[in-house]
Amino acid sequence: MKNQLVIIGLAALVLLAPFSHVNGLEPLYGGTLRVGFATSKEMFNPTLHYSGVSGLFHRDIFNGLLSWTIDYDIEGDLAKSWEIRDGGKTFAFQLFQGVKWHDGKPFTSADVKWHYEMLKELGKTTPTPLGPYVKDIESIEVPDEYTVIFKCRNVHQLSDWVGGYGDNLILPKHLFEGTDMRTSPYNLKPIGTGPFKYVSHQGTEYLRLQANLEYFRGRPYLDEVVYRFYAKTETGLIALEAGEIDAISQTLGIPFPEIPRIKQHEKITVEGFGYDTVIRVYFNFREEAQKKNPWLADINVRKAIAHAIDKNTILEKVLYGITTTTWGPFSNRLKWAYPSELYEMEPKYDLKLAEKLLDDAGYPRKADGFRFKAKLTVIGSQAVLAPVVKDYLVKVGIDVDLEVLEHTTWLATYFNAPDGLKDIPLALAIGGTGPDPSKSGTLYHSKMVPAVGGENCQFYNNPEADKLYDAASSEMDKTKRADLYKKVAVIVAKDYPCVWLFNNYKIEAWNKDFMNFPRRMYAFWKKEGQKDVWWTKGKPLATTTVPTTRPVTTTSAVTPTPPAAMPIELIAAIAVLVVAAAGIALWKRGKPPKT
Amino acid sequence: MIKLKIGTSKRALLDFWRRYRKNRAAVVGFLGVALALFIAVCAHVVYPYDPFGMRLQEAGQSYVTPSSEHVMGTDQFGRDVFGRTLYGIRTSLFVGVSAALISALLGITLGAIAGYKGGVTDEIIMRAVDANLTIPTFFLALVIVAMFGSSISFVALVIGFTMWPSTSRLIRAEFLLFKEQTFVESARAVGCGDAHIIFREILPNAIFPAVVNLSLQIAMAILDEVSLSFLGLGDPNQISLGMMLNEAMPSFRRAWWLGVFPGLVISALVISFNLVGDGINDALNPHLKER
Amino acid sequence: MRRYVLKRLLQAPALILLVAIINFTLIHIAPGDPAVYLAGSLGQARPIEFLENLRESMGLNRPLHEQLWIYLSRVFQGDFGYSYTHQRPVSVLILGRLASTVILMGVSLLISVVLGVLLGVAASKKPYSKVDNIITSTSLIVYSMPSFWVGIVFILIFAYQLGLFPVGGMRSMDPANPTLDILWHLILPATVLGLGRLALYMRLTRANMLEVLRQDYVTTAWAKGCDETKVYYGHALRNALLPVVTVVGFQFRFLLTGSVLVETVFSWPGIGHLLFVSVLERDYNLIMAIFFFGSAMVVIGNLLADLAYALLDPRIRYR
Repeated sequence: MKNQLVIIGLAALVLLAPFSHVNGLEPLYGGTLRVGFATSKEMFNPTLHYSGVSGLFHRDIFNGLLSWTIDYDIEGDLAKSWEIRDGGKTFAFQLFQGVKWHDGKPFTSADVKWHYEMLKELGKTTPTPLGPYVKDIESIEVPDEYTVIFKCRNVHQLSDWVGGYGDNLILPKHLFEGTDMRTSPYNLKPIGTGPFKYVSHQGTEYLRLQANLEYFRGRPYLDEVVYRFYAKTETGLIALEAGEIDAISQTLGIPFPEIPRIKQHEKITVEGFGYDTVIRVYFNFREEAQKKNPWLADINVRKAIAHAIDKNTILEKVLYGITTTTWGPFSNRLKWAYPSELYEMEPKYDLKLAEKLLDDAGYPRKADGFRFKAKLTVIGSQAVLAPVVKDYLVKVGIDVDLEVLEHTTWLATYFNAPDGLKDIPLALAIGGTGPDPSKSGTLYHSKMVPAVGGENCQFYNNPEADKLYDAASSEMDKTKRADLYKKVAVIVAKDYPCVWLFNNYKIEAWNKDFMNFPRRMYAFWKKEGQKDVWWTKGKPLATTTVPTTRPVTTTSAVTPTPPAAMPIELIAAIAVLVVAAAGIALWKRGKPPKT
Repeated sequence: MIKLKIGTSKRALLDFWRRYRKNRAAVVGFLGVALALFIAVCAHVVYPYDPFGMRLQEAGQSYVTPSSEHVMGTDQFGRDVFGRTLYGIRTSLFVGVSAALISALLGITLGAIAGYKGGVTDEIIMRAVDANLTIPTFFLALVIVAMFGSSISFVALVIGFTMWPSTSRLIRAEFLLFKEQTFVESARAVGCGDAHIIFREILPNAIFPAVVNLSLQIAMAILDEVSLSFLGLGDPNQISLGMMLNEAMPSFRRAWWLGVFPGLVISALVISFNLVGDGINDALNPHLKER
Repeated sequence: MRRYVLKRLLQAPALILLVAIINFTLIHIAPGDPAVYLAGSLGQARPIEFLENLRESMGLNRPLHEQLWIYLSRVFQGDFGYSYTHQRPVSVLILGRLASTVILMGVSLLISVVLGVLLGVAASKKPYSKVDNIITSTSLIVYSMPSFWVGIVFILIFAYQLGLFPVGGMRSMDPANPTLDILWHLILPATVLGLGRLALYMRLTRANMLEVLRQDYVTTAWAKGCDETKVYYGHALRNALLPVVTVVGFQFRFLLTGSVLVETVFSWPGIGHLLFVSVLERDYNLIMAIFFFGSAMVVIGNLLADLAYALLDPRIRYR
């Protein structure tokens, strides 16, 4: 009888299997996902090297204690539960049991203790983002193999433990302890606890990962993930359309002008999202800047500039609607702390009002049509917007002189330098407010100048706001914190220290054969990387082994769509060139003199 | 080999022009250069509209295909490509000519001194030339511009500075041959100073290679400037053909006209200057043509 | 001959040393504090004591001449420092990519020279004929086009529209034959790089062939009734080839320059692209090292060309 039931059960499964993945209801197992990414570093140790790009695959290989959800709430990663005691000075974490490192050794609280102590030691010579918090840890206790208790000198928020950019991902103690981490071979052959294991890499061009079948939350659906490097967004997109890769990660994106076409594409699709960093034009409040540019001190001039930039048109025509506008010292994506009044306070595009404000403020147009000169320094990553912002300001009568510096250089010259923005009146850059509103304090609190590690390079000073930021950082109750942040956001916004434009954006594109690909949040933040991605052509039953060398022909090639109107006009242009060449050739180069 | 003192007589110039004119390719080049110079100077007359202004507020201005209204189409901000190309020619020519002139100035001066004085001075200058010829000069220019700033005049200066060695070698060679000639001896006997001899006696005869080289150097300088701005190291307040190509890349498949026209124009500019340089060379040295 | 070779061999390291000193001086004159750049490249603001520690560990507090001496002695031992942005020793980083650039340069040089010489010979057979004019004009036109533009157009036509070649990069993931795979990826970038300077070799060969063919001994050979091909490829070409060899050596710097642009367009993982990235990130150790390697390559190229010329040209041997 039992045997018959088993046979009937199996038969049912076999018969029903083809129907179970209709419309992707039931995730299927197997397949290789080839993702295009942008990186140029051959280093897989998230503590030593992290960037917006490496977060992508570090989250496949490693886990942290906690991580963010898509709405910026906090959830546990390696931590099953936690307790905050002593008014925010003690953090006790209960870890998941049965977690193993990729080499089979068990993960325990000893690893966590070693990791944070290592960070503390490392912070003396190498900067890491968790540095300031880690310095503050007085002691780390491990009463048993699955409990870690951090005792700090000062009050901290839970978000401080989530917040790292890679250094919060736990490294294996048994492989790194006692060695010089900078030259460890495990920087190139990483061992983590995550859903994917490192298999191999080829310079900075390829990174191959394999499913970790013993992942503590269950094996990932995919068998393999391969990351492939592209230097340019254009080549990445060409590869995606040619079927060479299956997806393009948010680190690479696709060129803006192609977005409308890809949205209509049959086999692939694209999505953008705005996240918690804000793109803003900011004003310099330093004394030397205000002396040279007295208009900076006048709030009506700043207001006028805010009204002179048409954010919605830019969003629609330049950014193709892939993100949202925002207003205020932190992003409107942090919904729980964002005051609704700011939605009304967001200035609308009004050229006439802007002109009037500037005229009334005592800056009429002079003979050459301009009211005053202003230098605008732009960070490389926002180079797309630079000429657009300049154009709007020129139209309202401000003679803008552009300077564009590459991302790192800009940060080093202005953001992190002790004299901040120096005497330059305007800057177009991002303000990394981060997933927790407390981070906006490092941008707008008067004490958080670059010299002490803050990011207030515009030297904005508002004592009322300072008080509220201070109060909020030591407030443990979530509702009360939310209230405080809502208040400070309104107060800062009323002062127009910046013209906040958009939430910074990322673009993700993928072949529709793969489900759950887009992370819709900054790569660092989402735990477990590609774990939930599955392939619609997989199998319903999980295999117990993962094939090691798999020919990469799993995805059907997407038929390429030819570029727009290339044939006729381009051929005409080339024909002209050829005719010119022939013409020159056929016209003799003159007869040589007779000897 | 005896070098004769050549007077810049009217007859000589006419001869030169006659020989040059026979070379059709060179004439084409000359026309190209003349056209480019005309555009560079009179761009704002030929195209009286604003090439910088964006037209995002108006509908349907972005990515217009080449038509009667916009001969080369528009880019994503609604800016007319034809107008921008004209202004781009102005930028390229400004940098090209300035850089070549700077290179000529440095090259001629240093080459003359090295050739005439000889000895230690010559050695030092030649070592500098060798060193300069060893360094991949574009790398050098790239580094300097990235670090010190990318304003248009500075870029011209840097490019000029990387180009002077070839000119100086030519001039030096000429000077080495000339300084033994009798007319130089006699000038010295009469009591003329070194500077006078260098600049008044020898230089007018020795300068031809540099003149020939000038056109070719302008061509090289234009390519250098275009390459630098293509890599993003151009002046963001100017319109540069290289930067237009850089901006065209993401849109190339959607709007091929953004990349094709600036590239064609760059090629045309460089070809013209190369043809002129070749033409001058051929016209000056007719004995090298045979059969 | 021996004296000549010795002289050239001694000059080479002197030049390289000079280049190293120039590099060092230039980079340390640049505006900005390297320590701040380093902290900046890791994306977060750092407090002052931290910057101090960093300066100490990077050796930036010592006076300039001391830093220079330290730098030179380390270079002599093969230690080019540590790249903080890439978190690897610089020499490892460069050596990993050097081969790619050398392959690219080598193959494109081959294409340039072989095609250039062949075309030059073809053009010289009947000077000022239609064939000659077409070859001359076309190669001049190609010489004048910006290499990166040609690269973009090539990618669009051959890689995308026709699908004959890959879009970029150096390797596929699971190639059946790794060597062939690299060659397949190599063809487009090498061709683009090679076409750029083809005109040079073409014109040189043509001019030299014409010069040689005028010589008496050639006329004699013809009068004697020697086979025309033998005359061309035997006597004439061999003599015409000598200057080409010298010129090749001097072309190294242009090859290196071209590689920056071509590597960027084709995502070819070589040191040209690495230089560009490192300049933007103000990674001083890396910049200086790439400069050094680049210059060393050019010096060696010049030296080899000079020696080859000396070997091939009997006239110099008796100097």
